[in-house]
Amino acid sequence: MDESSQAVAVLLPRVRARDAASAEALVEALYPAVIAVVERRRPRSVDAEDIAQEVFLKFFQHFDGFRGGETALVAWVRRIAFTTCLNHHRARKARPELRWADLPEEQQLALEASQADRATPSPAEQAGGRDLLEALLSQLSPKERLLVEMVDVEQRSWQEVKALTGWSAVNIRVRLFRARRKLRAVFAELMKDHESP
Amino acid sequence: MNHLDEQLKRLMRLAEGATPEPAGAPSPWFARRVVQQWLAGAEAAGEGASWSLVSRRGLACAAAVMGLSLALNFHVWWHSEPPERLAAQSVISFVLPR
Repeated sequence: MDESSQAVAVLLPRVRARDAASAEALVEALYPAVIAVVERRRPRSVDAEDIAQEVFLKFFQHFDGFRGGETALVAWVRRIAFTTCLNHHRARKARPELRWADLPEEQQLALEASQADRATPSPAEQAGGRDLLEALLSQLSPKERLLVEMVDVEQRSWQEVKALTGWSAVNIRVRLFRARRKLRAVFAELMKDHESP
Repeated sequence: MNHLDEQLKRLMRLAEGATPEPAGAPSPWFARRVVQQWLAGAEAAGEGASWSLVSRRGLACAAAVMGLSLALNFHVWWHSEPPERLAAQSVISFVLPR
């Protein structure tokens, strides 16, 4: 057991006894794990720290029922962070159909830049690409979009995805298959819209 | 379709480069704010629990009083005169002149 694990293990009984200073130390120890999930999974319109706060409040509300060590604790809080982000995606309204003509100029340029596949795209092209991908992913269901982000965009391993989501391998495979099919259809529609005069 | 997949992959690669690195440390007072909110919430929930205890006790008291009154009524009825006689008495007192 390393030093940080020992420190967290010492904090757990004190937090159960409602010791504020220990709870603060635990929040600071777990913050990097939480924010790493939240920053990547949150909807862009919601502030990361607001979601992190929500995650920690849920964490403390259910803390008395938690039995396990430091490793299980980190996995647990990461899963709470994932579920909280998923709920934020669910709360958002469905986006209207995506059309080439409605895309902002920077997204159109980003798509053209991505097709050119340059070794060093400019930051503006990258930002436009990110926004365009966000618009494409918003056409999927929240669970599907998060899966595509993790597996296809960030190239996470299946083990990582399973640990974070708590879903079975079959469930992930089926959802991912549907998500890719849907995303491909949306993208094909967008490109058809772009190519048609 | 393969061409489309390739285009989509390129877009994903481009977008991935724009993802910001997550911040390492929380803003000042973040931990304190969270903990205070949790403790305040836990306290409020505790008060809520005490209120629910009072209401449960009140309900038990009311049920006990109702049970007692039923028992008393039954007791009075059991030791009173038979109903036919009571009815006859009321008819007589109502119909006959005093």
